[in-house]
Amino acid sequence: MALQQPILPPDPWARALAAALTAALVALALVAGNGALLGDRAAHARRVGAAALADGVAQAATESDPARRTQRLQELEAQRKPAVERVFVLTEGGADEFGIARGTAFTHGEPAKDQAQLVQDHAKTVTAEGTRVLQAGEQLQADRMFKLLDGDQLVVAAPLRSAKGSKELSGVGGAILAPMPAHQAPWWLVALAALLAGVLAEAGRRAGVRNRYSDAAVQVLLVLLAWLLLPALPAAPPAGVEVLSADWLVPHTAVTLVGSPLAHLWLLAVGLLISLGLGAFTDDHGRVWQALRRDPTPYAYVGPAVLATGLLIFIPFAVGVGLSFVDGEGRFVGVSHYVEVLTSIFDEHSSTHFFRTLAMTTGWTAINVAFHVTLGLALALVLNRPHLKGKAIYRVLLVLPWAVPSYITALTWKWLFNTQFGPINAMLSALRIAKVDWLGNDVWSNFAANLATNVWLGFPFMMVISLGALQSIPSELYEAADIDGATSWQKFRHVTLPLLRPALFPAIILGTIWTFNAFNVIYLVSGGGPDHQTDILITEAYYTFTVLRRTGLAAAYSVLIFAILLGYTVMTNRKTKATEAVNA
Amino acid sequence: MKAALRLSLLVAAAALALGCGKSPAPADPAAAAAAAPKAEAKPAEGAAQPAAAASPTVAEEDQGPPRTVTIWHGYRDAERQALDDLISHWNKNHPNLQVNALAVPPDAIIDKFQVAVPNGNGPDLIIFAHDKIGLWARAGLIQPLGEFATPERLKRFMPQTIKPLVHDKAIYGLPMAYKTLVLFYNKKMVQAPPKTLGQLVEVAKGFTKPDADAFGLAYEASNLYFHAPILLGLGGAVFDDVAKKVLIDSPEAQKAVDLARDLYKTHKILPQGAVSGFALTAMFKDSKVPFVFQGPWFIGELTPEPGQQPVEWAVAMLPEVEPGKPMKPFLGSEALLLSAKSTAAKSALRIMDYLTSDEAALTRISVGKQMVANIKAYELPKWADDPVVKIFRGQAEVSVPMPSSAEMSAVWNPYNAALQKGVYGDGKSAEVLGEAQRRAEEDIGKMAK
Repeated sequence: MALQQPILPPDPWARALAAALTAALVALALVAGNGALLGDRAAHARRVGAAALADGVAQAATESDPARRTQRLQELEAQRKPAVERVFVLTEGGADEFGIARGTAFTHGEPAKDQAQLVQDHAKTVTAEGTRVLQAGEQLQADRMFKLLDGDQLVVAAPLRSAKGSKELSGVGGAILAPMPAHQAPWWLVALAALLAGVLAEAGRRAGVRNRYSDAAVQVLLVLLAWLLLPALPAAPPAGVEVLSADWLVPHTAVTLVGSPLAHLWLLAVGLLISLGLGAFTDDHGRVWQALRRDPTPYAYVGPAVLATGLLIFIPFAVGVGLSFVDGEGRFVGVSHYVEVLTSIFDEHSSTHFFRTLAMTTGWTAINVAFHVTLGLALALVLNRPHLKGKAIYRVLLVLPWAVPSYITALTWKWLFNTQFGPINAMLSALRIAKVDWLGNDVWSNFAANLATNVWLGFPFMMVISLGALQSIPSELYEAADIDGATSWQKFRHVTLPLLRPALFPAIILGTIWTFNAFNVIYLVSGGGPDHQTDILITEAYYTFTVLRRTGLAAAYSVLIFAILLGYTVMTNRKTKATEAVNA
Repeated sequence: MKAALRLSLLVAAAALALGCGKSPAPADPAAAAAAAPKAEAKPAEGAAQPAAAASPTVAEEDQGPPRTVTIWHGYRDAERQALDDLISHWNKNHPNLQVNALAVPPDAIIDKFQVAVPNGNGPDLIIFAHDKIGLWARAGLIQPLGEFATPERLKRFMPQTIKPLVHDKAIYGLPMAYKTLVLFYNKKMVQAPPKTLGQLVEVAKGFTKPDADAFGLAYEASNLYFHAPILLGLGGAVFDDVAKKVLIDSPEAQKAVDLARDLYKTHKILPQGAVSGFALTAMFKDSKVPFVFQGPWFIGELTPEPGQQPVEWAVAMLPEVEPGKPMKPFLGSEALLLSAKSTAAKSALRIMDYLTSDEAALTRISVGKQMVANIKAYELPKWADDPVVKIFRGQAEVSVPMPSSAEMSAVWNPYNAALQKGVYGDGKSAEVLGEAQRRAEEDIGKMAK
């Protein structure tokens, strides 16, 4: 693997193609991000403007003098810009015996039928939530009073208070925005950004990049530079979007990053990831493209597999990573999910404890894999004895636990551990030993039940791998050892074990990854009990997903699990060269 | 990424807007009211036939283009048979409005519905217990019935089956049936059911022989659903749906845990460790336990295996936990809920009306052995005097609707953990409940809003 040396002479076409591709992708990422943010900003300004109007309507509607009320509403109507379709007042008539709101009616500006239904539904939530807040003795927060409706065509509604100091809300006043016109970043901006990125990328390459590390560093610098230069471009509200609030006029640059500074980081990260990902194509000599042009056949062979892997693994993985940066409503929240996961150790009463669970997961994995390897290897050594009778039968029987679907095995073991009726306790009783409440309140009895199940599930794999490797050890080596007068322990230690290594290490890595994520066993046997103490990271992530309904948090867990396992694999690999060819 | 996300959100919003545009939801009470019930002929009393909904006058909508309404349900066996009978009867008489029922395994239906609806692949109607209404309404998976739920239409149901379906001042479905726990007892072992928990304990002690795996009482004491009758009977509560407050830790709740612990530790009438499902059914059928707290689903499980001696069982109201304080189980109101993405909402409401009509209820109670929500069904002597139906009907009067807020999902786990520690373990009731209270509050704080 000679990375420093070009395999083939430089090919100007490959270089040009690679440079163009990077430039275009980086530019697209930056401009699309910028376009989306401009749109966000415009939408935000529209919302702020409409909210102010809705607030006015709600206040006007509580005017006790009917003439004055009509007058104020008319004034507001006169102020309404075309971007606001209508303003309305919806009053509730009370609730029936079941608590269902009855007699709700629009007393001003009734919307079209389908919208009216949506407005009514939202109004119910707004007033119910508002009433709850008031009755709890809290102040109505401004953001609590507004309920946004589907996407850009939103309803903004502020609750009506029938009287000052009243703890009941009697309806809402609001404004319906016209749908926001579709907006796109102007094409010339895309072209300009592409050109800029392309020129910079090529300049970097000419500056004499010599290895993949300095190449990556230059890429980073280039994206940073492109990002710094982009704001110099002029920006305007997206064409055709009427901006309703002075918020828009806050001094800004082309990269209008509404919201947190984290959005900047996000934009940069996307640009960098694309740029670095393309490193293989864009390094000094465009090696991959070049090779592809010279000899496309191998690429054609692996093409379908690469495509399938991309569709089934890499895209979902990328989506998962993306999800960990947004909350349930699609808002960008930066790394706050990671911070939340990693600081959960400070939440005394939380159901999720990342570090406690990580410790449990690590211990769980280590103990399991140790059992898998010793048991699997021992059985393989027995099965490998040349004169063993009925070998085929034993082999089938021992592989059986592996062949049965793991959830069936897990449920069977759960039953075996049943306190009152389980066969294991029945055996203990027969031996005059007190029954154990295996899946009850004790952490270690729960752990033992999980462990027994997973050892049962895991040893056949190690056995099969070891057996295969044992059979490929040439018998001459043992003969030679015999001539040298080696004991059987010496033969095992100095002939068998070293030759098993190349097969066993990748199997151990794989087994570790499986056990680390042994969701079926934990979920079905102990269920994480007692009280989440035997949870492993993946079941904890499942809890945050199903019970807390935090997709982002669960995604952050998954990314962390991935990072841990990646780190482990890389480290083990370096130490053992496990995945490298045997003859290397 | 962000742009792509925005795009997908826009698409989702557009799909929603489109869906709603197509179905000017239930804003036409007259037409809807005229739809099913009036057109249906009166069936023979207690008819085991599908309710004679043979509408000779074809409703106006039936003239339009053919439509299909899809229902997802988790019914099996008899309940499914009754539903299928009703649907095939409807389909025969309404060629232009066909109903398509899909039986989904009960443990998969929640996930399937939650995944399918946002993608626009869900059903028009789903039959499910009311406790998911808060979550699904908040997630925009189901929509309120609006004007369709006229007071007249609601009058045909038992009020306690309607109340649980109301969330934030709107009603989200019409009830099919209700489910509560009652006391199942073995008639061979016990002549008359106990009136108080104290009596039950005395009788139960006589049947407890741990060496023979025989016990006096079996219920899943570490599961809030089964613990609830004691808790609610003592006047405790779990969660306030209106104020969204966790009410786990209270003197009543502590007393309830102490009481359950006494059943296990002092009176020793409960099996060691939680016994549920299959094991519990087997115990009861083998006359290894005279008393169990179970719901209407248990009746179907009591059918004897081939060659097995059928167990002689009966039901009774849950006993009094203290003088004047009867045990109060959770009531689950099983309802037809309208999907927020239904493309044929108006037709779906007609079907909802038909399946919850008094006539359909008779089919469901006689064929499906369902505890239907319709008051009329219980006025017929056949059901008014049925010993099983009478008990469930009575127990429904002495029950508390299960909380339906989305927040409840963060209450079950801590509460069950507290019960596990408090009843079977060494935890002090005040401590374990206090911890559960804090835990639930913490988790609710973390939940997606």
